[in-house]
Amino acid sequence: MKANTDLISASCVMDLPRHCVAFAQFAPQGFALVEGESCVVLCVNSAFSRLLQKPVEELVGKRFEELFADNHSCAHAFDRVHSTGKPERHVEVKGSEAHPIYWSCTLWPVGSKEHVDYVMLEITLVDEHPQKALEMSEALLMGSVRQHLLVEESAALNERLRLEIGERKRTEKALLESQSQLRDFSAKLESEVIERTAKLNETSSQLEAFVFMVAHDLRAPLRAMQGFSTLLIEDAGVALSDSTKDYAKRIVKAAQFMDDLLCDLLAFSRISQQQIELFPVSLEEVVQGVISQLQKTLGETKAQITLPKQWPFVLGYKPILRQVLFNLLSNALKFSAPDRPPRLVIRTEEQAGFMRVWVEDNGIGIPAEYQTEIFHPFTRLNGVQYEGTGIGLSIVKKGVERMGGSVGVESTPGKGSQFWFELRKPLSP
Amino acid sequence: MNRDGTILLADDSEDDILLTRIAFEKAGIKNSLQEVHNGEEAIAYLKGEAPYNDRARFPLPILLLMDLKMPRKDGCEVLTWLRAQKGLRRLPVIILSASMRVEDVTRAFDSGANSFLLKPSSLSELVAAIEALGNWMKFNHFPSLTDDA
Repeated sequence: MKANTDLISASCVMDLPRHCVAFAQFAPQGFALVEGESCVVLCVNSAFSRLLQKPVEELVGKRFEELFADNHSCAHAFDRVHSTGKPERHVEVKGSEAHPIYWSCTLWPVGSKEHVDYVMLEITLVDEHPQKALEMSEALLMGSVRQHLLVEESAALNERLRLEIGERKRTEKALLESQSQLRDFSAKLESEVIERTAKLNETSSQLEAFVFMVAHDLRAPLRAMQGFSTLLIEDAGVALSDSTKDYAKRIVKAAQFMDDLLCDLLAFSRISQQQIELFPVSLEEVVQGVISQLQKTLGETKAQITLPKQWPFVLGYKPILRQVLFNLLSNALKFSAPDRPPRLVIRTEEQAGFMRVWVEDNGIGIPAEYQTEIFHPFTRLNGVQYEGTGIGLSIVKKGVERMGGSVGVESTPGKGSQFWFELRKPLSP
Repeated sequence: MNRDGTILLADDSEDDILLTRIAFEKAGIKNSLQEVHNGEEAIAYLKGEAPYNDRARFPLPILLLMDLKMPRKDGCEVLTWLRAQKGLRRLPVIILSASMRVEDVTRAFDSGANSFLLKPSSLSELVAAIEALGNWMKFNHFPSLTDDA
């Protein structure tokens, strides 16, 4: 009961109410009462003495800062509590880092609000577990705060996602609409192309039919004109005067020319429009065929033809190639010079991927300025001496072009012309 | 059948028929010539329908010389009809046309034509063609059109 006596004695000294001292006497925490102005320790309880490991006599009567010589923060806290009248609590760490000891130190004023007479000090040795719990609770708090933040953030992100998904859905819908529009457009375009192609084919075949009808129907009255004017000359020949006979002859000739014109027009129209397929064609076969077709004219004109020793194959369409060579050879015979018999040369020349076929003559030739023009329809350079429709070379040009080739001419007026056309070589002859 | 029998000309052009008649005359072919001016008339003549029901006046021909392009029924339609007839289907038919179209030649032969001659534009060529026809007739054996044995 020594401690008890100490406290009682102290309380007596300090004139404190007796029960005030008594309530702290056996408290498990250490209590100390310090006088405000002088900082002198007025009394301590036994827990205080035990915690500081010093007998009560050594503590009472000492100045507060002497109790915690090594701890200035406690002394500063005392000054603050004394001057402000506000309580403070501190946790101090002592001992080694591996085994920390936590001191909890609470100071609060005793007295009136205006004047702090005493400062009460309570110290507790805090186990490390509560500290850890504190840390954990702090961490939990921090965690919950962080969680809260995260929840808020995720809510914001969700909102943004929702907006973005909405946006995306709208974009997708717009895209689908555009795609279906595009499909509609392309379907419409396709059907328009089909429709127009059909129309074009129809127009084309209508045109061909029209040209055929024109040629066919125009030729019928021509046959009559020609036939009956011929009969007129034959049957009434004796009764007709020379000039009347000449008129009738002119009717026959004009009808014949018109018939040639219609035939050439028909051929030109057909060559432009007919469906063709290209095959390897023997040039020799075609040329020989044309020569036998022209045999009569060749004999009449005393013409000579030099043919190549080696005959190539060309990629072409036989009926058109025959027409092309027929027109070139009959032109070469027709436009011969009056003073010499025609000398014709057919030769071939291999080019890169192409075969060039030359048809050369020693005829009247073509002035340079007309060498392009002669391939246009109805171009006639020699109206009076040489009859012709002016379509023959147009047929040649169109025909060669239809077979994927080209034509040209080199010529010296008065000496002769060298016509050529180029056709692709077949891959394997 | 007698090769001196009647030849039937079917053509919508009176001029061409007249020129053909003249060409026959100039070629010295004596066969009698009858004429019709469209496909329907040709069928009526061959069937012996009015106004061609008098076979003494309009005898069954030994040869039909026919244009392709005719009103009512064209040459190919007449040929298609003809080739489906009992006996009559053997009648030799020569197409005499101004058409140079490959398609027309093909169509004519597919319909049962025996020959296809291009109408020449000059009288002399027409006479030459008819002379050739006369030579062919001298050597041709004409079938019976009535006996369907």
